[in-house]
Amino acid sequence: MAMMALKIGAPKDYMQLLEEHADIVNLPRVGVDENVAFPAVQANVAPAVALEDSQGIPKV
Amino acid sequence: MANLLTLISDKGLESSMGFFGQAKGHTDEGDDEAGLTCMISNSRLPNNYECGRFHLFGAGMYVILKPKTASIFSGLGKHGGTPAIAPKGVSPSKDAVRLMIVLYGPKAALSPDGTSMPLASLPNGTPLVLGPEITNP
Amino acid sequence: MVLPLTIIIFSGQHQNTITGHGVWSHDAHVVMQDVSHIKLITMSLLQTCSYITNQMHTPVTIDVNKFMESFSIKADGRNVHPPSWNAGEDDSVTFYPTADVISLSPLKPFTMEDYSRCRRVEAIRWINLQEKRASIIPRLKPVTPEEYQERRDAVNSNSGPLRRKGIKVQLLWLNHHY
Repeated sequence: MAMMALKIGAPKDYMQLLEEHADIVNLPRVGVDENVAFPAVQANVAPAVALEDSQGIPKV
Repeated sequence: MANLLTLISDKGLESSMGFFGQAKGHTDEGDDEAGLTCMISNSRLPNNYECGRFHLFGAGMYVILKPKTASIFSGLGKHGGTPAIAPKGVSPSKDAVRLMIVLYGPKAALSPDGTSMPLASLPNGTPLVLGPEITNP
Repeated sequence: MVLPLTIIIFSGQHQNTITGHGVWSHDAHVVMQDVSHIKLITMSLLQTCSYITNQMHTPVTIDVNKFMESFSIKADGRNVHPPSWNAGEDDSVTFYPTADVISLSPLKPFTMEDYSRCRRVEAIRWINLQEKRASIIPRLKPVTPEEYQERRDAVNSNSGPLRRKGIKVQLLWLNHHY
């Protein structure tokens, strides 16, 4: 899904550079063979909060 | 890597996600400059919950984390999120979960000049590790 | 005289114990498709062979495509082997996709020298891409142009990871007086 999203949004020459790079440096293609961009995955899990307890992003 | 799910309602993401949940945001310094991060929302929330937002500070924008949304950005720019929020007066359901799958390109993987690769097992259980002298001719 | 040289020899009957360390050969099938796995392992084996033959006094040429074609797996009911490499005039590389074992048209030989040259050219392109993309990412401590140049210089330098020419293995002899 990530590769599909990237192919839709990214410039074609950037995709070509990624594919050539993956082959040349022998990047492990995790998941599907088309995956030339995302060799690492992380899952972030968090519970929902009550409205009364929620806080926004502070001014940066 | 997955952070432990807590059953205790919390003000923000920090107790669930630690460094990655800081309200002031963070940067993923280990990411390659030429790479990108793709974050896919796979939250399980009742329809009337606010899904949570994902902020890209440099761009001055946020993404509403509707399930099955994919956001692509550079992890090197400062970013941060807000949790899913139950409607006013509703105690959050224990099943209501904000779940993000983050796919990214660490510098150690995309620019492997100095990293080692544990290729295979040798007899007696010794691992055969290829150093950058081998993988980076 | 003592020769401080360590040689690890595996001989005789040993139990075939797989390491407890996660390794790409044994464990990668969990996270990738078969065709990706064979490409990864074959390329790593090629790099290992090249590293070893580079230690010989006699220069050795490895035909990369013949090496890659000698490995195949069954996928989608066919025998497939890793793609073949072809160097362009500007040291860019094109790949002939994972093909059936019976090749349709032979390519000109692609050697480890070609690989090394193409790799350096690609490494410079990648660093240029890093610099270009970093220029639009707002960062508190951006990488400086000088650092990017240092990366380019490291790619083009003749020192660093084993280079073909001028490699010597030194044996140290210690004299012990009895």
